[in-house]
Amino acid sequence: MAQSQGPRLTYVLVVEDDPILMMSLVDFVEQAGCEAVEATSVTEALQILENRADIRTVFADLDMRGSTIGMQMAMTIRDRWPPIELLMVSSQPWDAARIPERGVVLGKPFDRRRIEAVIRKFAA
Amino acid sequence: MRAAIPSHDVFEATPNPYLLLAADSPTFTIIGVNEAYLRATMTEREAITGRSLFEVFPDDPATPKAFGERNLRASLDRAIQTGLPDRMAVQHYNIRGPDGVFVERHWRPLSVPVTGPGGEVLSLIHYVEDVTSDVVGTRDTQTALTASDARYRAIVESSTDYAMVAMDLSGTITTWNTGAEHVLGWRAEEMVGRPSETFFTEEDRTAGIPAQEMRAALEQGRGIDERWHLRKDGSRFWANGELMPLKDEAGAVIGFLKILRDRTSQREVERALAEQTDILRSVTDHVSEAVFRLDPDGTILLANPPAGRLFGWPADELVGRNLHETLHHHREDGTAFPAEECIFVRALREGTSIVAEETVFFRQDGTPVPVTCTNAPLLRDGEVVGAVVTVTDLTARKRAAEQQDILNHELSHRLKNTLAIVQSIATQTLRGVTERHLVEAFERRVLALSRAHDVLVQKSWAAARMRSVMESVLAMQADLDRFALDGPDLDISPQAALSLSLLLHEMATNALKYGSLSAGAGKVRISWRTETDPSPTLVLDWAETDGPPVVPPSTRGGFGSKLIRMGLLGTRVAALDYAPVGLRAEFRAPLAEVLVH
Repeated sequence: MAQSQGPRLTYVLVVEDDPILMMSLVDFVEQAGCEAVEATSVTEALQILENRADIRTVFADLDMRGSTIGMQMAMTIRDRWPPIELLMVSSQPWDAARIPERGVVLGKPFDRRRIEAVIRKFAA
Repeated sequence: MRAAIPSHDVFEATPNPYLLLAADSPTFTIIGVNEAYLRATMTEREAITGRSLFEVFPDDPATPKAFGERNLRASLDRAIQTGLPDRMAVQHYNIRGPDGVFVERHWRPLSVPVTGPGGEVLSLIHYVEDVTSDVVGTRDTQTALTASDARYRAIVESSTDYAMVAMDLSGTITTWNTGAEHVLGWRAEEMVGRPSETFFTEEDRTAGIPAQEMRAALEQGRGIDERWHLRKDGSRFWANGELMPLKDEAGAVIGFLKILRDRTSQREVERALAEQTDILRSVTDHVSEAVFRLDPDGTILLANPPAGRLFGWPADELVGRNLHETLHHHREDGTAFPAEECIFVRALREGTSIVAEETVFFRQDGTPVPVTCTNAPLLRDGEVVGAVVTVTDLTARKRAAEQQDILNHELSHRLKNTLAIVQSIATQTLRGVTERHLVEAFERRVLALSRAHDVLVQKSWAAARMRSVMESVLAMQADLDRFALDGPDLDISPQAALSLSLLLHEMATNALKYGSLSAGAGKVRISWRTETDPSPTLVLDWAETDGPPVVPPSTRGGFGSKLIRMGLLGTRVAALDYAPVGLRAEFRAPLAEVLVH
């Protein structure tokens, strides 16, 4: 079903350290018609971004171990790779002022409709 | 002055008693005595001539205060020093009879110096008039008078409350009034003539208390004390006693009047009161609250030790200061707080109560203390006489509430993450299920549950605002402008919040799939009200408009339909009307279960 957008695939880098949640996040990406690239840590995610130029969107869990590491990564990405879109999920509310420009934070548990809608929008 | 010496015959023949004394102070040797003196003093000439006056006539050791000798000595010395006659007031100077027993005697003495050619005093003529019968007669009259007076007073003031007992100098009872009969139990004829010691306790008698009281009465004019006394039946009572000396016209003490009042019950009341005061004090000293007693102007009359500790003042330095000016002078935002704007100052003035009002007090160093403050007015005969103000430090409670809040948010955060994991597990487990809408329905129900939690956590899971709960769950389904909410914003219980969330979620899901929300212009109006008849009830109406033509569902459906039929809080009071213009539903639940208790 991911091929429905045509021959050019849209890649979404999924950053999640919990394997069960990773399955869901990857599922959302695929349901939205994109291809998931998995990273299980912030370090791995940044390495991937340094090595690939085809990542359109980063989809990260802000609840990863190390309380604010997810948000720090998001800000780093916004700085170093400004065109990359940022979609984040979190179990806690975030101050809007701390969210990088164009970034979207959605809550947990997951609202599949909204998550997939945002991924589609960023892929378009 | 030689003419002043009476001839021997005159000296001897005069009916007045005379002594001729040598001017050899302090001995005062008797060098002459007349018959009258010997008669009056019941003695023999040979027994006394050539001996010291004071050796022959020593003080009666039984008289309460042996000042006869001292007074006489002073008078004789004065006559020698001044060379002038010295007259004394009536003296109580008991003398010893031939049988060695002292007999009560009162004398009016005059000492006349006899001078030699050079003016030196050679001897003293000591003239004494025995006035015993006068004194005793006067005293009896006076005692009787006093007694009748006492009786009169006893009748007038409280005839049965006061015992009035007159006694002579030796403590022998001379009068016993009706009050005494009532208070002490003995009748007058039983007690007159008996020593006053009779109604003292054994231990007081041994300690010499009766004599001590008499001495105190003589020295200070009156003696007041409280002690146990005995009744005739041997029982004890706590008495307030007053002992006054009785004096004759010349001012000589002739006896005592004792007034006794039974204070046993007052003593019990006082002791109970004192005990209560002690308890109160130990309570106010050891409570954690600061307690102030104020006068009507707000001046601190009393401050307990915790008050000093809480506000950094030595507790005794708070006393005398104005409470508002000292501890409540600013508002929480740091602006000055004029007394006339302070509700506590007003409550104090008007004598009204304030219970546990939150405010901020200030320590001596200026740092604020969050507190609750309670004003309890003190009224006497309808007039404000002050207040007791209790101030509780909220610092620890606020800190605990903050920690509770942090904990709640942490729990909420973990719960939501766990619910996300539950969603994931379910989705992955149901991977092979072809009816994906069922999987999604599950996901969304978990989401709806979580939304209710979000609202509840804002009030630490104690309550939730009804409107917030509704908006939060409806926003999951569609833009909020498609819903019209109309009803009072109630504080509802956690159970009601969860139930309402799940119910509205199912209703909105159906509306989105089949009802008004499936059409672009469709809307839902949700209105609610409380009814009191027949019992307090919450009534919630769901009305869909501007949707496609309504088709009642053909089957009873699954879990969602069940949730709807369960209604609010499982009451099963759910009326669904598939009217052609749009679905209408009414849900009812007992108000008591909906609201926070």
